[in-house]
Amino acid sequence: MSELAVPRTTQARNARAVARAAAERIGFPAGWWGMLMLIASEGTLMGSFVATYWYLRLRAPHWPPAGIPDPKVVVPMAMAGVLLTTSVPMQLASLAVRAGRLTATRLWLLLAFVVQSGYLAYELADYMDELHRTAMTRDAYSSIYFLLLGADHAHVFIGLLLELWLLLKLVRGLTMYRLNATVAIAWYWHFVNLLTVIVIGTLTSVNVV
Amino acid sequence: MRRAAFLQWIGLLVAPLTWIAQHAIGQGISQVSCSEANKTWGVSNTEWQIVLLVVAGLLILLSEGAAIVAYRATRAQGDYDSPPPLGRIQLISIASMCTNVLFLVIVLLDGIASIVDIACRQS
Repeated sequence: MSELAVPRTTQARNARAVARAAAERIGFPAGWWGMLMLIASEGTLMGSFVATYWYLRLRAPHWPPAGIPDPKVVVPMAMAGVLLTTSVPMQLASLAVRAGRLTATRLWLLLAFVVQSGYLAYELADYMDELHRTAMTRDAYSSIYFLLLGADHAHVFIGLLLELWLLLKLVRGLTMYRLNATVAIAWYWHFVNLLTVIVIGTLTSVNVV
Repeated sequence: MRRAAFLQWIGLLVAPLTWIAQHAIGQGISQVSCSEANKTWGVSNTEWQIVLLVVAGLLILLSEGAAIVAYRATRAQGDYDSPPPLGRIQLISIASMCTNVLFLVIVLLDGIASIVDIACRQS
């Protein structure tokens, strides 16, 4: 088997060896494929939530129902825009790690983590505030509104946990597993950022469409 | 290796595509069977849903079989950490063997609900 003649890239244990192994790699690592499958399944789940929103909306005579104010537009869109910009440091971290630049990788990840944490803190406070004003079980609109928004926040929270775990791992240096994790987590964040734009766009479309 | 590389994609993709097709076609059959025109067409919702369920179930079993064959063909040569394509085939076939079971359950639930549920009335 010619494939077996290629040394395992996961044997690389320091930044220089990892960068060389990454450059000589002949295909995508298992972690990349695993993340692709996770994104596909999460995309399907969130896609069905968004489809549910539109199904309910297009059949409802009043949307949102009487007594519920229209959702805010400017601040959520601005916050989604802020979150979207974190794709830049995540991609730069992904590029830096493949070049074996450990310090740059840590810094880009830390920058993204701070911004994403700020986003989630604000959004959670806003979410709880809205929950105090309108019960999730009030009607179909409230249910799908809080479900969509809550599911999106959960994805952001999971992304932060992944990033925190990665930052702690990178304190102990770079290995091929950590390189794969950085690239995979960057992909996850690109997905979450796109998802957030779609979710916020859907929920605020009441004021536009 | 080339055969296993082909079978991994059958194992991964056939089951979700089957479910999408079953759901979409099943929806269409329900709509047709409840339409005014069906008084002359005579499409039986129950019969067609059973046919659809059997075909979808068989396709998912085929998908599971492909994943198992791909896994067994490469198991002795390495694991999912091995260099590609071996590592990829191992990973995808393992994931497919698990997800195909879930898709089989989804397809069964979808099909049985379409057969048992009374069509042509307000939900």
